[in-house]
Amino acid sequence: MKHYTIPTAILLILSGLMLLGILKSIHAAGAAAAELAAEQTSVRDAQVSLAAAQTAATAAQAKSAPTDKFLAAWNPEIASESNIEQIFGQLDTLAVNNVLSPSGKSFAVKPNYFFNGRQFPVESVNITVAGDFFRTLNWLGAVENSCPLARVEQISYTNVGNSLSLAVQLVFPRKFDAP
Amino acid sequence: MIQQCLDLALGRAFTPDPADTMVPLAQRFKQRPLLAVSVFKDGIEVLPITFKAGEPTFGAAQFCPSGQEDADSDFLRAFAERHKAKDCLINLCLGYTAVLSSRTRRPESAEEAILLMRDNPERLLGEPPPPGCRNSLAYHPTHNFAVVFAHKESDLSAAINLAVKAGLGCARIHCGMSSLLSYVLGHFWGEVGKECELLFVERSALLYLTAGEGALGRPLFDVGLKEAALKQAVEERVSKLRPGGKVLLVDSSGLGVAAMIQERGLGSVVVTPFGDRPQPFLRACCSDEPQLAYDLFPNEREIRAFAPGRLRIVPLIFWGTAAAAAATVAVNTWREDRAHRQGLGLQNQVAMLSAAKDRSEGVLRDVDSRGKAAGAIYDWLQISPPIQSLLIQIAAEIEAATTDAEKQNKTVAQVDSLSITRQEGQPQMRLSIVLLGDAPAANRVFARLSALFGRLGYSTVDLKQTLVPAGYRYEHLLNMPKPAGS
Repeated sequence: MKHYTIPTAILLILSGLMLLGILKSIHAAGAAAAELAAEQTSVRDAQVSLAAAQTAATAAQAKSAPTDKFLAAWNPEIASESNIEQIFGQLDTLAVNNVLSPSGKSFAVKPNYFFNGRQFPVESVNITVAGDFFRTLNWLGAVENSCPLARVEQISYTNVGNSLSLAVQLVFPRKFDAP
Repeated sequence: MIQQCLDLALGRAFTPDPADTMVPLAQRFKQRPLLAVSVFKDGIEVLPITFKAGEPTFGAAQFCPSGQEDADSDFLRAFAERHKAKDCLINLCLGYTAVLSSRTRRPESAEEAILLMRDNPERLLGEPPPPGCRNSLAYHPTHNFAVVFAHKESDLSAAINLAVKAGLGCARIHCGMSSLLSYVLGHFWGEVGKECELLFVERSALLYLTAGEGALGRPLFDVGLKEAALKQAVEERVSKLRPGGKVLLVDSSGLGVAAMIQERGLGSVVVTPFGDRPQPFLRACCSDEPQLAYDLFPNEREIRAFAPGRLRIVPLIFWGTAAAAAATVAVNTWREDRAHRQGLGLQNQVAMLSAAKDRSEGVLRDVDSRGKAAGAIYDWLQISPPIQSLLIQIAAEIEAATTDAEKQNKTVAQVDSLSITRQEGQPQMRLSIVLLGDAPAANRVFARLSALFGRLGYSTVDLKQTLVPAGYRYEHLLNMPKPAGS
């Protein structure tokens, strides 16, 4: 017995170490299984989130049909009214057509035009026409008809001698970005 | 230490070393062959021994007379090869002496007896051993008497050399007579009774002594006799036996000693403890009961230690744990790898689902963005009503006011200038109009305009009336009508 005391101790220690290895192996496998379970939970959560997002997106797309139709109607108008040369030409043509004398055209870009609690870029156009009052009304109507997005920011009628002068400031929106 | 660990782990440690004198002979050779070599003066007798349930079984003996040099070792080697034996038990049948001693001390254990007799025999003998001799002891069962056998170291060395030359290991070296005496005293003391004569006869020697409850007689012996001399010596000894006494006889000589005693007709009672069992001397040499047998091997031998049976649990634990560890680690490694692989697959799934979710959320954001853009355009259009219609209504009100004043012969006011300005950032509009005329006329016109704005949904924020040359200026700050819901 005495000859094998140390070998016995060594073998038992080795057995203990192997037992620890077994426990460590079991622990590692358990941890891996727990990680796998967590991943499976993540997949289920992601599937639920995706289903919710897809449902919401489908519903939103279905509900946005009128919006899309509205934008389809108005986006070309925004594009066409963004060319200042074209606007000036249109204003001149309409003035001449209404027997008015246009003068004093100018424009300025306002990058932070404040409207209805939001800011967006606009082109501000100033034009003065002179002529009969009713013709100026017709001209204004024609301008609003041909440029429906144009906002009359300011009008000012003044008598200059025997003539009536109408100064108009129009604002053309460049785009309507979401805030 | 590493070797011992390996021996213990592989179970070799539980198989005793053939030369380990601390392990009973039957246990050492439980599953391996053993040869018994009886060394006589005129030759050697060899026979195989097998152990069954701790009891020796003896095979057929062969005798090899002393002859040319190495003839006996060659004979022994050939015999060993025939029986596939690698170890032998040497029974020394020559060259010993025996005396009675009262100085001997009993060892405390069989292990101590073996070690002390090998390393420090004086402690057991009670006196220094004779030079060139090794001793063996046969104790009286109850008293401190012992028959001390002395064996020449030269005889021992010669016997051991014989085994070595034959390629055999020496598992045990005994003196058969000494072993038999110990065996008989240990196992058949009940047969001795109050007093008895012990007569042991083998092929070339005899031993005689008296034994009683409290004493041992002086041993008388003859060694190395030829058959005729032995017969004569036996006859002499038989003739001196006490009439009517008890004789404990062990006879393996084939001389028929029991018959000799009976032929004398003196009424002696002959007891043969071994009966018909063969080889009583070798049987005694093979025995480790009641105490572990002595060994005459003169030197210390390097032997592999023998692990007791109670340590068998250790390799079982070790290999059991190793097997469990191997199986568990293999299975768990496989499980871990599989879990990692599946985890990677699930992570890819999560990434794909997240990407799909991001796309859906992008659609949502796009829809929301477009909705807000559409809302902004809608609000722009709603808060920017056409100015032409408002001017027409203002002009109509001014004209109506003038017509009413003329019908009522009242003074009329004339519009000098008119401006409408929207307030940036506010849903407000500022109307500024200069009316030329007296105050009632100007007020009537402005009152109609105010009423018009009221009907259109405008509300007054501020109103100022200031005097201008030949007329009045009205500055009216109005809240725009709230647009219909988008």
